[in-house]
Amino acid sequence: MLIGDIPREALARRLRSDGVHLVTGAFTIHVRASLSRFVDDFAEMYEHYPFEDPAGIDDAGVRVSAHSLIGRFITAKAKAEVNGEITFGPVPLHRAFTTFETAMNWSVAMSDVAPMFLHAAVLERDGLAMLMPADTGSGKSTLSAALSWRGWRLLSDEMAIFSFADGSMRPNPRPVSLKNNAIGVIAAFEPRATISRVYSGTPKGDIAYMKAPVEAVARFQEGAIPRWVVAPCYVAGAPARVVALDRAEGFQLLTDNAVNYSSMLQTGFELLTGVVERCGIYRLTYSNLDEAIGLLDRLHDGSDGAGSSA
Amino acid sequence: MGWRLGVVGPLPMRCWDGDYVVYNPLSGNTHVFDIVTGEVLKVIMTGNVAAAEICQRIAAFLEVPNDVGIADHVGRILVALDRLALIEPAAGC
Repeated sequence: MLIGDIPREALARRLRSDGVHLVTGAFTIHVRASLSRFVDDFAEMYEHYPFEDPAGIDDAGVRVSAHSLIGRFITAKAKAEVNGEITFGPVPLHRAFTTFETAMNWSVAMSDVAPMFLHAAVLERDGLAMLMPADTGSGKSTLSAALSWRGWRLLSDEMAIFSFADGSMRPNPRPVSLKNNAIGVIAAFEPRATISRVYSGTPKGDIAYMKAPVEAVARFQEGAIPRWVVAPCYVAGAPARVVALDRAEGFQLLTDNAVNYSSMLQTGFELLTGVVERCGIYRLTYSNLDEAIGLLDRLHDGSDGAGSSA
Repeated sequence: MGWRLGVVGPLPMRCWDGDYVVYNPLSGNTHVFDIVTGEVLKVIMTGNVAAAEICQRIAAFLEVPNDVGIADHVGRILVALDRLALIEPAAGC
């Protein structure tokens, strides 16, 4: 059964009481919420996701609720609590969904569902994964949103999750966070994309979420083998260009973006050196999405494309 | 004076195009070394090795005379590796 199969009022009741055990691929989270505006946003963005009923084993629990300013009578803020221990927010009530998403990101990164987490987008094609490690502001989410409508399956726009079993990538597709100009860029780029309302006034400016494509959600049990590591870098006005990096640079890139490399000791070393040895490693500079996708398609097709421009 | 690895067992290491990436199980740190430092580590990984022999092997690797310049260079590398706890002095060399 999918979230979208539950009538709106029943979903609201359920979120207020027992909660929903939402499955997003590698991760299962127990969501509870008491804010009607949040229920609307949640129902829209997670429409195609299944939930566990009866409940299995949750990886974390997030509760979205009002943050009381004076007693419990005047509430104008929302907060998200993870496992009853860590609180995100308070934020204005209309931004409850953004703080929920932040709490979700944190929950995944702090969970034990994988031996290693990278701050990276992951996309798949023909069973092979492209990891895009990058800092915030690199255009990673925008590019992964665009790729997800051009033949690449979205595994994540935020966090690369490795499998314990074989080092493959575990999907965890979730709504793609788009910021400021990227919102209009993706809306214009792909008319089929469902984009949430815009949440204004966040510390990062305007934020909207692109619903993960239905195929990405439907196939979130299908992993992928790392084949490419591409560090994206959006540069306004720049022509698309791919440059090959040497392996030591690639290793540095991965460790710099690893959430838990130092705590994983030799396991982390072996895992990331393995990724470096099986992947082509590149830096992508771009400003135009179609040009960038064209170069990445050439990497996939085996023509490398390193050193070439669009 | 001789040197040996600071850890028991093989040192997790990768060599990629002249860059050596080394994991130190004692400290939990990962280091990236140049090719000469990597070669010094490889020599020491063979067992307890005298400093003079390390110099000889490095001079041969670089195809340069085994002179005081090599001794200075290797000496600095050994001090650095010792500080990182990757190697330690060994008696009997």
